[in-house]
Amino acid sequence: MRKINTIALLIAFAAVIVYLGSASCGNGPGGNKTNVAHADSGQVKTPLSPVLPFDVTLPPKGTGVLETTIRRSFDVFSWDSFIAMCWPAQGHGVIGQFGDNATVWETWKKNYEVFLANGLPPAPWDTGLQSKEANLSQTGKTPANMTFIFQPFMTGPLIDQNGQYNRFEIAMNKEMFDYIDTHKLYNIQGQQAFTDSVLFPQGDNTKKTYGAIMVKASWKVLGKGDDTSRFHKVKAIIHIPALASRGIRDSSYEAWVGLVGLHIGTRTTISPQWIWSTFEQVDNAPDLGKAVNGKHYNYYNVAAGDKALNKAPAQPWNPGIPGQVPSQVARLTPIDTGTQALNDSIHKILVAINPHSVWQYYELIGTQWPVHPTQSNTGDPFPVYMANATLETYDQGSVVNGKIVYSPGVTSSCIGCHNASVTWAGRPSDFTYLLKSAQSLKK
Amino acid sequence: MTLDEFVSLSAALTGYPAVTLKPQNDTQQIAATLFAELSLASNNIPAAQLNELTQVWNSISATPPPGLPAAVQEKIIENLAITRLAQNIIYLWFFGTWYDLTKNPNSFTSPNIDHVVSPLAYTNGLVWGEMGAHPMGYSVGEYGYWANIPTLPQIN
Repeated sequence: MRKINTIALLIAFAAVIVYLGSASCGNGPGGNKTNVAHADSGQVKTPLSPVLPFDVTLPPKGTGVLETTIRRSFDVFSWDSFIAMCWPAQGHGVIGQFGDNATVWETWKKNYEVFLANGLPPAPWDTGLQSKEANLSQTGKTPANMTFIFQPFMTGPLIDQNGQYNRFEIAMNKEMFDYIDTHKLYNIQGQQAFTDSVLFPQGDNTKKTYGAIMVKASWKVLGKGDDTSRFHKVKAIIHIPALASRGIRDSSYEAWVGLVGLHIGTRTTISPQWIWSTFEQVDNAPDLGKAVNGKHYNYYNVAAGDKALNKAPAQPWNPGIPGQVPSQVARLTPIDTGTQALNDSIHKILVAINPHSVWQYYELIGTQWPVHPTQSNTGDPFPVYMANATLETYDQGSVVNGKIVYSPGVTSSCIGCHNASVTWAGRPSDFTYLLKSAQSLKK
Repeated sequence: MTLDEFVSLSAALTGYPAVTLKPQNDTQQIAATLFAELSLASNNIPAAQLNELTQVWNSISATPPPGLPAAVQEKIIENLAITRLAQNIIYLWFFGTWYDLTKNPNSFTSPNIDHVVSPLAYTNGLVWGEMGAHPMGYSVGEYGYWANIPTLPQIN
């Protein structure tokens, strides 16, 4: 029996490699330059690819089973996207070959580069693929200037075991940037003058075109207890906003931060409600009730108990307030077993490239997509609920008498929440809240 | 009663196609959730009643569609031994709630509601679509949908 299981695992592993290899070859090396990292001639051989997928590749119609083959197709899309987006931006080997690497997505436009405080047009797209120093000022999932949006979720800051606030940032690819730039959606006046429906480009396997991609990243300030060899790291400028009532002045400092969460939203022909992929660093939090004694979690203290589990910290919220209590976080919905099997397969490939690759410490939490995209506005998302422990920490559901309770419209659902997004003209903004970051044009 | 029997019976009782009640790619598992109510001990469903409903349904389920509604009417709705349970199955689908079998079936007031099956069962109740409405505080309509003229589904 044991032998059979081993063989089955090996076959599954080989199938993943073959699939990833063929998917990469199918897209070809000559894709959109801005979405593709440069490749060295001396790089190691790997089935992983620096080329982003255009859209998901589904099993033939009628043969796909939602919970297995179709989910696997979307999960493979997520991993293909993650690998391509985290590929070395500056052409040094393959992903993780030389340890950590500056990534492709970090060269994309950040939201604060597109939606300027004076509402002026953003600078042209930088095609240089130069890694930029991150400027991390957001202390919540949404930028401070977006707090006026109706948010059905009780978002709050996430505080790590060292008492440090998580930082978040948003980036977009060239297709998304170009759409915003071309239609002058980068300021309030431009959005009000735009009378068409906002519809971002969609990736298409047949036309071989890329769709809009947006990324939301979650970072922790690296410090005591953190094994820095397990994180993708950047040096960032950490901003602390003023809080007059506590005598806190506006200030900034420089620190190393580690990537702990990554949302990827991709608009495609098959999934016009976007495909929502979410990844986490593996040390973030245990599954509910399954904490391992002695293990260091980024957001869980084994000795602290579960009294304040997944509860937002007390207000006021400001990272400059000393002595704040760390968040106590557990994952309520475990990673799907099929998704976990794919994670294990990819990790093996990453380790084969480099046993010290930081990317082996990232795992796909899940992929949400619209199963019946034309049936309703939200397209019947699956899985119904999905949360990243570092980005929807407090919206994972509730634990009532030891049982997890999910609530429609309250528990985190990417498509369900983003369906409510609008422009400054009060029209649907195609599942992104980004456009609400726009400011008024100040001449 | 099996899940398939439950779904086909539910289709006959509600008028909705079985594939609507239980889609091939069933994201929300509403049918399975509602079906579980029939085996919930606290619902106190007499086993004889459930068995009879199952047997009666199996005896008429192959009736060609033109004659099926009349067969359901005669054999189930007008059969006092099982009509109350059949009624509860209709309530399950339309309201996502379980009504106390021992209380007046024609009153929808809250004392007759034993429990809401689940948040998803409630928000997916068929009644909302029939009304061209949505549950209070929950909608999948895009922003501004409330300014549009309500539309009712085509009822066959």
